Amino acid sequence: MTFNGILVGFVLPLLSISMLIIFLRLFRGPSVVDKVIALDLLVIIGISIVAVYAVLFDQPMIIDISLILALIAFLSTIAFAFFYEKRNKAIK
Amino acid sequence: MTITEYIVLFFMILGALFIFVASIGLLKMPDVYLRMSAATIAATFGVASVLVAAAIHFGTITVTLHILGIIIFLILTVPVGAHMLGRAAVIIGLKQWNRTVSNDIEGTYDEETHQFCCMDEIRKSSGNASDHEED
Repeated sequence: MTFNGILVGFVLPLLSISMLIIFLRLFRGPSVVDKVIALDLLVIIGISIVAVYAVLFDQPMIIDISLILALIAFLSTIAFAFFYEKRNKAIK
Repeated sequence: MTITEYIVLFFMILGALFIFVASIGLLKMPDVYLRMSAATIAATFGVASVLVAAAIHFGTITVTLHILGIIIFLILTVPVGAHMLGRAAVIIGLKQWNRTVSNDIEGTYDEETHQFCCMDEIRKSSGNASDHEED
């Protein structure tokens, strides 16, 4: 197999199957915290898929997208945990 | 294929396998806290491996510095996010798995003041209680 063939035929399908499994947990998740972990992991897999596509098309500019995705994932997780904690304090 | 492409493929496949293991752990683990541990640790290593493969493939200093920045940022921020989520899970009272052996944080959360009191006082008070029973 060629280099691009292995990337398209093995690495990207493995990442896609991981995304499907995480979507299962996202829909099933008993608590809201599970769903937030699943969303965080989805964004992390998105970062790696962007990196694989940058290698596949030989475009180093695409790497910048994964930097921005990492920033947004951290902000959303922190904000969600912070406000969820605050809401439960307010209810009690 | 050249030797560089073999190295790139090795790191790519390693990272993809780690991310796959992380997703299986997220699906099969019995507990919020175990799921969080499985997902964050394995996925951080997997994405770092994939990004290192991209850095080896391009080989210029610009892309390598970008990727180094992304990896350092992820290693710093993913545990912080997991810690915040675990704290929220403890505060809203999610139960641990019934076969988990130790639970040091149980009873330390004060619902009036919303603070976790320090562990030393708990250990001291429990030690005093056992001494008192022996007396």
